[in-house]
Amino acid sequence: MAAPPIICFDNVSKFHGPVRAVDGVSLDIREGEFFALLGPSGCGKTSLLRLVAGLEMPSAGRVLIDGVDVAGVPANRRPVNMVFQGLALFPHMTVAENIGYGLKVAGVAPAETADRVADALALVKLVGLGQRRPDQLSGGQRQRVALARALIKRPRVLLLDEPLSALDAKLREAMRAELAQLQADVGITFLMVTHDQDEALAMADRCAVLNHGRVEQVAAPAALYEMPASRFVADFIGGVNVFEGRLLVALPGPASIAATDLDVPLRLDITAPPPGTPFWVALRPERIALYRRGPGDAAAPVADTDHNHAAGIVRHIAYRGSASLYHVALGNGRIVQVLRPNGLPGAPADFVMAEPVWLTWAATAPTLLFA
Amino acid sequence: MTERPKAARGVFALLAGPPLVWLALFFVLPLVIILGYALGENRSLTDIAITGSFRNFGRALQPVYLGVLGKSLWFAALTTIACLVIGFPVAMAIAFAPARWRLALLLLVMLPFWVNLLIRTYALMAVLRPEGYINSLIKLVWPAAWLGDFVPLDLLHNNAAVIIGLVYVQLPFMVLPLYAALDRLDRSLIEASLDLGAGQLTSFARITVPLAMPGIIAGIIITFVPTLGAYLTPDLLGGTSSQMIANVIDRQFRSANDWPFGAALSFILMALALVAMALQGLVTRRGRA
Repeated sequence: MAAPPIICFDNVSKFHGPVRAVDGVSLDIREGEFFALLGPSGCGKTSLLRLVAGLEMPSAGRVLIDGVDVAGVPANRRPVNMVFQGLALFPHMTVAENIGYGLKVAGVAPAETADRVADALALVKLVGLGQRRPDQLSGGQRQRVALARALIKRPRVLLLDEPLSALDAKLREAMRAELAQLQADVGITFLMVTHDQDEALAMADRCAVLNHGRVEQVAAPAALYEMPASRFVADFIGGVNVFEGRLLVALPGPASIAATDLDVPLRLDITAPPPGTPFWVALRPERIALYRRGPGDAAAPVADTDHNHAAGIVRHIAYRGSASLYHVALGNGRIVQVLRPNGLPGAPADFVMAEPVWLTWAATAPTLLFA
Repeated sequence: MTERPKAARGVFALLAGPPLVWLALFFVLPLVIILGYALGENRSLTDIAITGSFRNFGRALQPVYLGVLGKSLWFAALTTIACLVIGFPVAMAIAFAPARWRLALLLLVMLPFWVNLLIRTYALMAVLRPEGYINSLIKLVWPAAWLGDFVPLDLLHNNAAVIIGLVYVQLPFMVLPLYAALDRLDRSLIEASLDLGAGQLTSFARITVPLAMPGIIAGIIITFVPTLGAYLTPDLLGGTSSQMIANVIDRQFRSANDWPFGAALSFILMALALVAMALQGLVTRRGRA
C-alpha cells in the first residue's frame, strides 16, 4: 500500500565546523505529498533542503532521491528544483527569461521553451507580464515567477525554502491556499521549509518538527496538534499549558494525576503511565472553559465528575478579535492560559481583570507527554 | 520636498564654493591656457603667440604621430584585456574566500600602492634585464650540456616589457571594482542557476558576468584611461619603438621646446580618453535597455 519514498534521509548528519546543523535525521517523503519541515531558526531544516538540492553535501548518512543515493551528483543534475527564500530571481532577465532559464540551459528548442513559458505563466496567473523585469513586479507576482521558474522543468520534487516569508501577512494568507491548490493541480511532491507553524499546518499533508538538528515528530498537522510527542512539539505548535505530573491513583478507568504546579489533582481519561516514569501534562488553552460559578455552587453549570475544576483570578487579557487569551493565576500563583471565543450568542458577559473565575476542562482534554 | 529652504541653499553654497574655486583655478584655467597654446605657434624660444590656427592639430594627423596614437590605444587595450583576464579570477577568489581572509587578501592586492611607482618600475627592470632575476633563474637550471651556453633572453626595452609593466601597475585598479561588484552579488542567484540545471561555466557566463558588469566596466575605464596616458612605464621599460603618446608630448614640452604642438597632442589624448568613456557609457546603456 505504501509507495516507496521519493526522498529518503538515511541517518543524515551535516556539521558546520563544530555545529551539528543536522544530527542523524532519518525521514521518508512520499510521492505526491506536501511535506513541511518545521522548526525554529537554526534547527537544521534549511540544511536538509539544501542537502536534497545538492547545494550542500552530507557529513554522514545518505540522501536518496527515487531510491538512488545522490552523493556526488551535483545540483544541476538532480531532478529537483527549488524556490529560494529570497526568491533569487535573476535581476538582469525578464520574467519570461527567468522562467525559461532552466529550459534554455538544458538546450530545449526556443519554440518549445516559449510554449512552456507561456503555459507556466498561465499556471501561476501571470499572463501578459512575461516582458517585465522582476523589479517591476509586486511581491506576490515575484513569488509566482519563482514558482513558475522552478516548476517548468517538471521536477520530481519542488523544494520550497520559506516560500512565503517575503510576503506581507495578508498576502501570505492568500498564497497558502493558492500554493496548496497549485500542488494539487501539478501533482508534484512539495518539500517545504518553514518556521511558521500556521503555514505548515495550513498547507502540508505531513510535517516533521525539527529541533537542534533532530526530528522531534513526524505527523499530519492535526495529529501534531492533538497528540504532540514532546513538550517541544506541544509548545512549538500552538499555545499550550504544560504541567509536570506525578501519578496519584491509577484506577481501571480515569487515572488521577497530581501536577506539581497545579493545586488540584487531575482526572485524566487515559491509561495511566507506569509508576515512576516522569511525564508532563499538556493542556491547550482553548480546551479550558471559564465560568463564574464553581462546582461547590448550587447553580454551577458543570458539576459533573468527568471534568476538572480549578479556581483562579484573571491577571491579563489579550484581545485577539475573534477570541481573547486570558492569563489566569491559580491559588499557587501558576499562570494558566485560556483561549475564549468572543461574541458567541448567549455567552455570559466578558470576564474582566482581577475577576475570580473557575477553570473547567474535560478529563479527555489533556495530553500526556513523556519527553 | 522640492522647495529647499533658503538656509539649506546657503549651506550648500558655502560647502560647494571652495571646491568650485579650486577646480576653476587649478583645473579649468590650466586647461584653457593649454588650449590657447594648442591654437598658437612659437614666435621665439620663449614667446608663444596665440594665433587661433589649427595647424598643430593638423600636424598631429601626420602618420608618425597617428602611429604613436594607434600604438598607445593598442597598448592600453592589451593591458586592459590582460588585467581583466588576470583580475577576474583574483577578484572572484577574494570575494568567495572565507570572510576572515578577505581583508588580508585585499591588503595584498593593494600592497604595491605602498611603494613608489618609480621604485616599483626599477624593481621590474631588475627582474627583466639580461642579468636580471628571470634570466639568472633560467641560467641556473639551463642544461648547458645539451643545449649549449645560455643566451640571456631580451626581456627589457621592448613592447612586451611595457605591457608587463603596465599590467603590473594597473592590476589593482581592475581587481578592486571587480571585487566590489562580485562581493555584492547574491550567492543564491548562482545557486538558483545551478539548481535550474546550468553547469558552473554556464552559470558564470549567464549570471556572474552579467551581474558583475558594472564592476567590469568601471575596471575597464579606470584601467584603460590612465594606461592610454602612461608615461613612466614606456619611458623606462620600453625600447625606441615602444614610445607612447605621453612620451611624445613630454618631448615636445622639454627637448623639442614646441609647447603649442605638445598642447595639441595633450588635447587629442584627452579627447581619446573621453571618446573611450563615452563608448563604454553607450555600451552600458544599451546593455540595460
